[in-house]
Amino acid sequence: MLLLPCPFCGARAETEFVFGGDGSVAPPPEGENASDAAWTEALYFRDNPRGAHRELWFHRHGCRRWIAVERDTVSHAILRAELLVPSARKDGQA
Amino acid sequence: MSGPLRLPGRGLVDRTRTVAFRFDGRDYAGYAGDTLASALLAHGVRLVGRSLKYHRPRGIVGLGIEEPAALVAQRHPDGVEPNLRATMLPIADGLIAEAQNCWPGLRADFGAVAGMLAPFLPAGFYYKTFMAPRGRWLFYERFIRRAAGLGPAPEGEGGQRYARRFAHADVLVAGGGPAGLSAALSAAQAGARVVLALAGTQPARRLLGLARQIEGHAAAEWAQDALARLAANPRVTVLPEALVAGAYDHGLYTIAVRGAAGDPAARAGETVWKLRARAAVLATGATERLLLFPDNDRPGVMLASAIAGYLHRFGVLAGRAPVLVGNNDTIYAVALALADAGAPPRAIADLRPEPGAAAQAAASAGLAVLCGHGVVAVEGARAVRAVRLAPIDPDTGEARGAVHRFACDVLGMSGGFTPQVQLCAQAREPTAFDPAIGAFIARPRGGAVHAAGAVAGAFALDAALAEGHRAGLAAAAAAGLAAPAGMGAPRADAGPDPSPAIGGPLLVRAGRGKRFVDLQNDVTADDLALALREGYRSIEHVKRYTTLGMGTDQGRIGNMAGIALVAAGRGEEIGAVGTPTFRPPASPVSIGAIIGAEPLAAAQPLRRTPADAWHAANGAVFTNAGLWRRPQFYRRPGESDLDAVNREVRTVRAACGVIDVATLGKIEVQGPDAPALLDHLYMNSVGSLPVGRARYGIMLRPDGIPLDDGVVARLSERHFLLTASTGHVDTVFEHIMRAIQGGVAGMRAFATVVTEQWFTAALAGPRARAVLAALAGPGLDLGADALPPLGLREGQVAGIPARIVRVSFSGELAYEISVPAGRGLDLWQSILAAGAPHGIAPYGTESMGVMRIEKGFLIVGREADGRSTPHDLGLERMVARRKSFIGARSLRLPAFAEPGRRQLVGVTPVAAGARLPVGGHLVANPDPAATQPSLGFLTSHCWSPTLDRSIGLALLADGRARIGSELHAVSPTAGQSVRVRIVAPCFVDPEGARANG
Ligand SMILES: [Zn+2]
Repeated sequence: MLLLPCPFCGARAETEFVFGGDGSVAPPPEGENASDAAWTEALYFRDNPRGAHRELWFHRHGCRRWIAVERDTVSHAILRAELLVPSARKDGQA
Repeated sequence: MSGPLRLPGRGLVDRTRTVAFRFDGRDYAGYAGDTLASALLAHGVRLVGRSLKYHRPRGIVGLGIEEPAALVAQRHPDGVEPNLRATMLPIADGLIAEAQNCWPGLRADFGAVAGMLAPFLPAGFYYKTFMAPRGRWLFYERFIRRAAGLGPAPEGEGGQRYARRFAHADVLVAGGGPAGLSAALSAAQAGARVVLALAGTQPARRLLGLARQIEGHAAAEWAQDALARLAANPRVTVLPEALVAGAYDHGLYTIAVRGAAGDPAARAGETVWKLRARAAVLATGATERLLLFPDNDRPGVMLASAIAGYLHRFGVLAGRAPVLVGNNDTIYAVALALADAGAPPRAIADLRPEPGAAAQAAASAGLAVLCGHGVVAVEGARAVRAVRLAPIDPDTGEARGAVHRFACDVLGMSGGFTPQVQLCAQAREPTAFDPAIGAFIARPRGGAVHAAGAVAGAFALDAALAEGHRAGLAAAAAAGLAAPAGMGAPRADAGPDPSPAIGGPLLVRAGRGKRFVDLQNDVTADDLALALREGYRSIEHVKRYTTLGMGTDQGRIGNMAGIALVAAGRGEEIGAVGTPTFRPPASPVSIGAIIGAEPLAAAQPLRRTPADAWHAANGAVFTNAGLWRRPQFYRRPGESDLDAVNREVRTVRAACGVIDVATLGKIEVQGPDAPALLDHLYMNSVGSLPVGRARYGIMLRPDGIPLDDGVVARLSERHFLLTASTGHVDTVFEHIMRAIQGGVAGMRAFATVVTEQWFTAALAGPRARAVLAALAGPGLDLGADALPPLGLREGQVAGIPARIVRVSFSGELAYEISVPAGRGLDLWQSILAAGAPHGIAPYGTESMGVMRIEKGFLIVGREADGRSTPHDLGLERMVARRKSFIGARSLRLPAFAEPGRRQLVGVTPVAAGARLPVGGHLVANPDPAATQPSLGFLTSHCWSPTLDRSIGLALLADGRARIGSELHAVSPTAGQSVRVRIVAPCFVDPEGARANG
């Protein structure tokens, strides 16, 4: 079971968190004007990297903050953990 | 009286304390400190169980955790605990143990007939034999279930107390051998908080009987003293009878502790520790392997090291006339110990053709050593009577010379030693194949996980002590603790260390009889060969096809031999074949201990609404909604379930009813940007909502599919209250927080779940206004102008500060009245009292469900099933055109506009009295057995007391175009078929006159 370093709460057990999926997905640069293909790619296609992977976790039983965690998918080492930062985009797709 | 094979003056048992116990209906006596296995061996008991598949007679094979065969059930005063290893079960006065897997009894076992059928039970026989003819599986299954499994399922709670503990440590040391003790000592000296998990009650048991010295003391005494020093150290926790069962991410380990030491306060029989350790030293040692020769499973065939162990630990001679067979030098140490105990081996067969120094020394000591020999036959079915030894060709495994017969009562075998690398592999640390010992050794990278001793290939005593010392310091350093200067490892004398290096043939092919690789699952060398012939190559596939190593012993004594056979069959190196993935638990853990002492209800608490006690006292039949319990309906005397629901629905539609909707998720959103946030979250426009008004809203996922629906009410300019489905409120809250925290920069809004802070009752029916009026405080105008549909008012109801939203989920005039949770029961009872003159009835979720189906209101999770879009659900007119929101772009993807999409429709049988089949699919052909495409399916259906007919909602391909046509609702599993008419998805009051009046 992972021990996730919440920037607010410190190292906490994985069971306090909810997994929020791939945190590396960015909306297409054209935003809602993106082509169907580009939009579909951003919606459904995910990399399955061996090594560093950015993912989102919600500290449900803690500070109720979304955090972005960089985890090594091989060793499960946590490389980085930081608060989820809002994008400056106003494209409707966080 | 403690058995004829007990020798005086040896072992650690307490000879002043006799213990009486019962095994398989017979009374025996042993000593305190005995295991069931040692006590039975002392009495010469050979037969202790029957095997799983062939029901072959089986005896005690090993000494501890590796035991594959001697599994027994322990009878407690209030239950039976199955599958306990006799080698690990301490005897206590009054212990009652029973053999397993035999009916009617151990000596005359009915299932042994299966042994005669052996040629018809090859590898994969479950998969092959019982598949044809099609459909017969259900018939076979009943018999397989009876025959399968090991012990009896526990009765009651198994008669055992369980506990669970959580703990933290700097360093976990798994294993209490020389390396583990040395590691614990050095880590503790470096200042680490250490947990030492000891497999048994005694440390370093292999040192017993060994004429070695450590730090100038007899080795076993040094171990006792080391353990005493550790136990006296307040930073060290010593756990006896503790098996580290699992190594998980980030230093989490589970430790199964038998006996009271796991949790003295709980007086538990077994405790699971969940330990978070900064670093660990794995010193789990090595386990001896079996040898592959005919009938290598006969009772009396044992691991050679186990024979030595029973002698040194318990003063028990496994047999008076032993024979030993092995492929390494360790058998000679066993032979010398047996000779010293007055039972010199009748013969020692060494599979290696060339006599080594140890063989020569044994021969010159007068022992009968036969080099290049192996076992070609074992005589005696229920107890070994004799063995036949012959020279074996090391390349072919065939006999190539004269056979010699030796009468004997025990046969000790040693196929080499397998380091116990399970935890190392579970921790995702590397292992490496060591050809000299024919097994994999732990080679951790050296971060938070370290290995020492035999598990890492260091079998020599001095090396184990030195490696343990180094690993303990390294683990302490990984936990951030620097070692004080001048610490040295404990040193052993320069005594002999028998080499575990192996040689000779892997498999004796000569002779007849099964060569077992896995005694617990009855897997033979022939089964593995068959699996390879049938095309299985990966060790993972071979394992599953043959069930190799899948028993409670996890194949400790046979897996490596099995892997070597697979490698030989594939013509590859063993290192290339690898091991099957090691998964927790490495050794069995009782389900009860995993649950712990808490009642199950604590693991899944029941949530009750403020009016729960009233419901329970007034005939509520409860259902679960997530963790909540909610009244499904209220049964009156003489009513069936359907009667009660029909009555409640008719009462609401004719007069009024009230339902407890306190479980409904409630989320407050506040802040200057709250309107913008909500417009971002909902697909329809809500930011423009006037203060004091509410609106039905739908949130979409980024992919355009509804996430949840609910009502948005605007309490003030910057203050909104949202409702969410009972089961989805957590997801909705996470979705909102993600939009705030990771959405648009500078969003000044915040959300809080307030579900528990409010009690809400929904009052519905044509008389609802009159009932509410009777409770309304001064100034609370309920008139249609002051409180129109989707209007919101605050005021006093029954003297309680309340918030009223005029919203209907039943299609009737309805109000949702919310009060602080602490006043919920007050409100509930006041409404019922005020409604009594109007014929009010409480109603439950089932009746609510009937009314919402009558109205065609969707439920996210049923009609909105994770695939249907707003358009599919007939909600396209709600979708805002002039704003951006989560999911908006996805709605324009071409796939969402393709023809043939399933759309929401209503369905009702053509024949008035007919009922829709449960889970029915909509098809063109009425034959339920016909193979045909499904055009759609029922999502919800019920009996409508309002229309007096069966009705349902369905998702149907091009459904809206099919309205007015007829299809068939069929259930192939129930063999039902009903002719149905497709109608619009609203059955009652489509104009909404009742709710809006
Ligand atoms: Zn936190």
